Amino acid sequence: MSVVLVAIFAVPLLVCAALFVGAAVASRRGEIPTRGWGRLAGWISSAGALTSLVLAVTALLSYRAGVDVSVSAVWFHVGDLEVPFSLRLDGLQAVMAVVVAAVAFLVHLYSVGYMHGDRDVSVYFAELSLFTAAMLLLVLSSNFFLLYVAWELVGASSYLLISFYFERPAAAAAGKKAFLTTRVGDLGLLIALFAIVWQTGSLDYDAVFAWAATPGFQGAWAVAIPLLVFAGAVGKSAQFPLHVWLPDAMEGPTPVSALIHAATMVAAGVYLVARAYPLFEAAPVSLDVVAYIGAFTALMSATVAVTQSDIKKVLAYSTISQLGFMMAALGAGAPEAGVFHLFTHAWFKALLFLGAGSVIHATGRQTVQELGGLVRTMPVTAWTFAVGGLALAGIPPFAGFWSKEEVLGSLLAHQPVLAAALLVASFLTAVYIGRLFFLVFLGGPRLAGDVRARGHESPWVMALPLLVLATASLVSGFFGAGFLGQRLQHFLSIGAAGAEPPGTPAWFTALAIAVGVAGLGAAWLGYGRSSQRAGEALGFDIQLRSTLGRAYGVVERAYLVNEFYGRMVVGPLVAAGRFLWLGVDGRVIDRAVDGLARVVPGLGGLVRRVQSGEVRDYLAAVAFGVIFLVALALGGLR
Amino acid sequence: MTGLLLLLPKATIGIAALLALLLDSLSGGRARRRVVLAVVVLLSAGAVVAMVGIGRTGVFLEGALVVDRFSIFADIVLLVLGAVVALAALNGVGSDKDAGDFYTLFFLSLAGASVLASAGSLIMVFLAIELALIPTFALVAFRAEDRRSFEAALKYFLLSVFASAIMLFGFSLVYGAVGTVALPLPGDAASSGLLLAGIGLTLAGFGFKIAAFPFHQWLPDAFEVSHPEVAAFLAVGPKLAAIVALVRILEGLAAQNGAWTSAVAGIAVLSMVWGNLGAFRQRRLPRLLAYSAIAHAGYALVGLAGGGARGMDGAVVYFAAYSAAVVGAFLVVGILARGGIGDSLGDIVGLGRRRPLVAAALTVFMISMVGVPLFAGFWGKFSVFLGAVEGGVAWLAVVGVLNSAMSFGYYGNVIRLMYLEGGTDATPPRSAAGAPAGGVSAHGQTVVAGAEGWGIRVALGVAVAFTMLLGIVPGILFGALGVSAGL
Repeated sequence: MSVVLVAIFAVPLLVCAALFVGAAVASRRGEIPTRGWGRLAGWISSAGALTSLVLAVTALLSYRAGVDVSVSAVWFHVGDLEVPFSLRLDGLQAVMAVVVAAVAFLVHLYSVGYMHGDRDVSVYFAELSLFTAAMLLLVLSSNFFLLYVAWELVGASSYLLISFYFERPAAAAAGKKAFLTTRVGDLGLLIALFAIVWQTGSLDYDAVFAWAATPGFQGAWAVAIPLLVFAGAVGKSAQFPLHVWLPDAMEGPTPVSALIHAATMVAAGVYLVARAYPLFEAAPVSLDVVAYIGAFTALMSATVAVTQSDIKKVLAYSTISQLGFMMAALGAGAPEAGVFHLFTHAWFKALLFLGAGSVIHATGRQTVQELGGLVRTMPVTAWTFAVGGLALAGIPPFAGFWSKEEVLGSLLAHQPVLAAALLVASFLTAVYIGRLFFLVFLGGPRLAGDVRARGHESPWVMALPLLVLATASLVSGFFGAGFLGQRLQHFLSIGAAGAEPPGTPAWFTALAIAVGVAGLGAAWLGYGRSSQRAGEALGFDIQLRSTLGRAYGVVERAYLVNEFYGRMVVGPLVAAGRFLWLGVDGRVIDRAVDGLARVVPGLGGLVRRVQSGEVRDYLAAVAFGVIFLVALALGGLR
Repeated sequence: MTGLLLLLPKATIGIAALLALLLDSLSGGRARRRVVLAVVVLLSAGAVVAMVGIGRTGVFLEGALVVDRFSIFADIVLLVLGAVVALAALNGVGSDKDAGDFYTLFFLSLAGASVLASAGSLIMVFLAIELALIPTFALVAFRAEDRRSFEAALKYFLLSVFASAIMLFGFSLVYGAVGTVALPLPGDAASSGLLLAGIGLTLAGFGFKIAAFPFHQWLPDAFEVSHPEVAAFLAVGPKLAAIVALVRILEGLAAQNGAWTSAVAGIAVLSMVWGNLGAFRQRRLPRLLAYSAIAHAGYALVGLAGGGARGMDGAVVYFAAYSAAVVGAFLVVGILARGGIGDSLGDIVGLGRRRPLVAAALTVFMISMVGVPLFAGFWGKFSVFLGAVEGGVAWLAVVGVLNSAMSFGYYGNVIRLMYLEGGTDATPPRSAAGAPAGGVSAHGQTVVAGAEGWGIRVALGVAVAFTMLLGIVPGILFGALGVSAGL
C-alpha cells in the first residue's frame, strides 16, 4: 500500500517532466507548437491529475479502514542530523490531498477549454502539473523539511504561472512581486526550521510535537518558533501585512487564480498552522496573534472588495478575507472549524473564479462597468456563479453557511470582539458578492453596440467543472454538519484536544443568517434594481464615492499599503542601488577616500603609473577594510 | 601505499601541467585537442581516486601538507572543475597558438589551489596562495587583443600584492603571539592585542582572495574582460581552497572565537548587501555574475561567523554547491561569445527561442543561485544558515535569507529576459570568425548553433547535471565532505 502516497505526487511530476521534454524537443527542432499538440498536452495532464485524485481517495479510504500507508526513507545525513524523505496520512492530510487533487483535476479540465488557442499551452500544462505535484507533496509530507522543500516549489511554480503571460510587463512584475513577498514570510519558516533542528535535532512532525508538549519547550524560542512558522503562513496565505501580492497575482491565467490563488496554495498557510498546531498550543500568545491578524485581515479586505470594479480583484480580496476567517478560527482555538472552512471555501471560491474565467473567456472583458445581463447568454455560468455566491455569503443550506457559522461560533466563545468584527465582515461579504452578481449577470449590456460583451456559453469542458463545483458548494457543508456520516471535524483530529466545540447559541446562528441576507438585500437595493436600466448600474458606487469623499478612494486603493511599501521599502532599496552604482563607478568613493589614499605611504608613486585613478581608490578601500577588520578583532580584547 | 593514494589526485594536476607544456611543441589542432582530452580523462580519474580516499587522513612533509576530509573534498571539486574548464576551453582559447601557455598557467594555478587546501602551516598557506594566484594574473591578461584585459590584470596584480603583504604581516603577528606556524594553531593562546591584530590582518588578506567586501574591486573588472573559462575558474577554484585554508587557521583559535566571528560577521553582511545591490545595476552578464559572486562570498562567511563546526563545514560546502551554477553560467557566457550573440542583458532577450537548451541551462543556474530547494545552491545556503543559527547568530541567517530573497530580483530578471518574446528581432551580430554555422529558425532568426564547439556543450551539460544531481541527492555533497561519517 505504501507506494500510494508516493504515486499521488509522482504522477503529476512525471507528466510535468514529459511535457517539458516534449516542449524542449519541439522547440529545438524549430517546430511551432500546434493547437492539437497543446490540447493533447492538456488531456495528458488532466489524466495525470485524475489519477492523483483516484489515488488520494483510495488513500483516504484505506486510512479510514486503519491501514498504515506511511512511507519513510533516509534522504541524506548532515553530521548527526538525519533528513528523512517521509510521507504519511492522517485525517487532515487526507482531506487536504483529496481537495487539492480534485480542484487540480477540475482546473486542468477547464484549462483545456480556457487556454484553447493560446500559445505554448504545453508549457502551461507542464507548469500546472508541477504545481499540483508540489502541492500534494506539501500536504503529504510528514516532516518539516520536506514540507519546506515543497513549500518553495509551490512558490516557484506559482511564480511561473503568474508570469505565464510574460510579454505583459504587469504579469512579469506580478510574478516577481508574489515570489519576493512570500519569500519574506518563508524566511520566518526557514529560521523556525533551523531553530527546531537546533533544539531537537529532528524535523519529524511527531518528534517535534512531542517535544513541544514537554516542559523543556519554554523561553524565547517557544514563542518565537510558532510566530516564525506563522510568518510563513502569513506570506503564503496573503494575510496582512504580506497580502499585497495576491491581488496582483490575478495577472495570471484565470484557471491558475482558481487553483493556486483561491483553493490550494493560499490555503497552505492555514494548513501549516493547523499542522503545527501543537507548537501554537504550547505558546498561547502566538494563538492570539494568529486570531487578531486573521480577523483584521478578514475585515480590512472585505471593505476593499466592495469597492473594486475588476471581477478578479473582487474575488482576490474576497479570498484574502476568507483566509482571514480561517486564521481567526485557528487562533481562537478551533482549528477544526478553520480547516472545515478551508474545505468548503476551496470548492466555492474555485467555482467563483472559474465562473469569472468563463465570463472573461466569452467576453474578453473583466470590469463590471463593461459587463451586464449575461444571465441570458450564459445561463450555466450565471446559475453556478449564483450558487458559489450564496455559499460565500453564508446562506443555508449552501456549504459556506455551515463552516462560517462554526468559525463565528468558535470566536464567540473565545474572542467575542473578533466575532463581532467578523460579523461585519460577513455582511460586507454578502454585499460585494451580491454586487458582483447583479452587475455582471443581471440588467442589460452596459456598452451599446459592444457585440462581444454579450457573451456566449462556454464549451462543455469548462461548463462541466462549474457544475461539479456547484454541487460540491452545496453538499460539502453537509460533511461538517454531520449529515453524511462522521463529522469532518472529528475526522481531522488536529491538536491535542479534539474536543467538541461549544455549541453555537441559536440566536447567534439566526443573527449570522440575518447578516448574510441583509448584505444581499443591501446589494440588491444598491445595484440590483438599478441595473435593470443599462448605464445606471454603478450609480450607487458614484453615490458612495461622493458621500465618503477621499476615504472611498483610500479604501479602493486598498488602504495605500502598496504605496506605503513602495515608498518605505522599494524606494530606499532602489536608491541604495543607485547610490552604490555611482559609488562602484568610482565617483562617490573617489571623493570620500581621496584623502585616505594619500595617507597610505609609498603607494602614490606606484599607482600613478597606472593611468587610471581607480586603483588608488581600490587600495584605499582595502585599507579601510583592514582597519575595520582589525578594529573588530581587537574589540574582542576586553 | 595509503600515502601515495592520498597524494595521487594532487599529482595528476601536476602531470596535467607538464603535459600542457608539451602542447606548444605539437603542430595542428587535432593533436593538441587529443592531448587536452587525455588530460581531461586524467583529471577525472584523479577525482575518482580522491573519492576512494574519503574517510582517510595523512600528514606529509613533516606536517606542511595535510590530507584530511577538507582537502579531499576540495580536491574532488577542483579536479572536476579542472576537467570541465579544460574541456570548455577546447575550441576557444585552448585551440589557438597560445594554448600551451593557457593550459600550463591554468593547471599550475589549479595545483596551487589544491596544495592550499592541504596546507598544514602558515608558511605553506602563503606559498600555495601565491602559486594559485600568480598564474591567474596572466590568465586574466590572456586576451592580448583587448587592452582592458591588461589593465584589469594589472589592477588585480597590484591589489593582490597589497593583500598578500597584509596577510603576511598578519601571519607574522600571529606567529609572534603563539610561537608556531604549524596548523592547527594552539587553542589556548592568550588573547593578546598582537594575536587579535594578526587575526584581523589575516582575515583582510583572505577577504581579498575570496573577494569579500571591501576587498572585491578587482573582481568585476577581471570577470568582465577575461575569457569566460578563466572567470569560471576564478569564481570557484582559488576561493574554495582559500576558505578551506581559512577554516583550518580559525579552527585552532577557539579562545579568540568571539573576536574573529564578529569580524567575519561584519564583512559577511557588507558583502551580501553590497554584492546584491550592485548586481541589480549591471547591464552585462559577467559583471552581474561578478557582483553576485561578492554576495555569495558573503553567504559563505555567514557559516564561518557561526563559529561552530557545522558552520565551518557549511562555508566549505557553500562554495562547492555554488560552483556548479556559477561555472555553468560562465560557460553560457562563453557560448554566447563564441556564437556572436554577446553577453549584455539586451543580447539575451529571446534566447529562450533562439537557443532553448542554453536558455534552459542558464535558468537552472539562476534558480540554483537564488537557493530554491532541490537545486545545488539551496544546500549551500541551508548549511551556512543552519551553522549561523546553531552558532547563536540567528540574526545573520535572517540577513542572509533576506538577501537571497532580494537576489531573486536580478536572477529572475535574467530568466524573464530570456523568455521575453521578440526584443532584438534583428539578426545577432556575426562573429569575427566569419559566417556563423547553423541555420535559420522558423522565426527568421539566425541560429548560431554549433559555433561554440562540442567541448563547451558537454561541459555545460556536466554543469547542469551537477546542479540538479547535487540538488536532489545532497548526500553526495555532504558525504564527500565526510560529515555523514560524523568526523
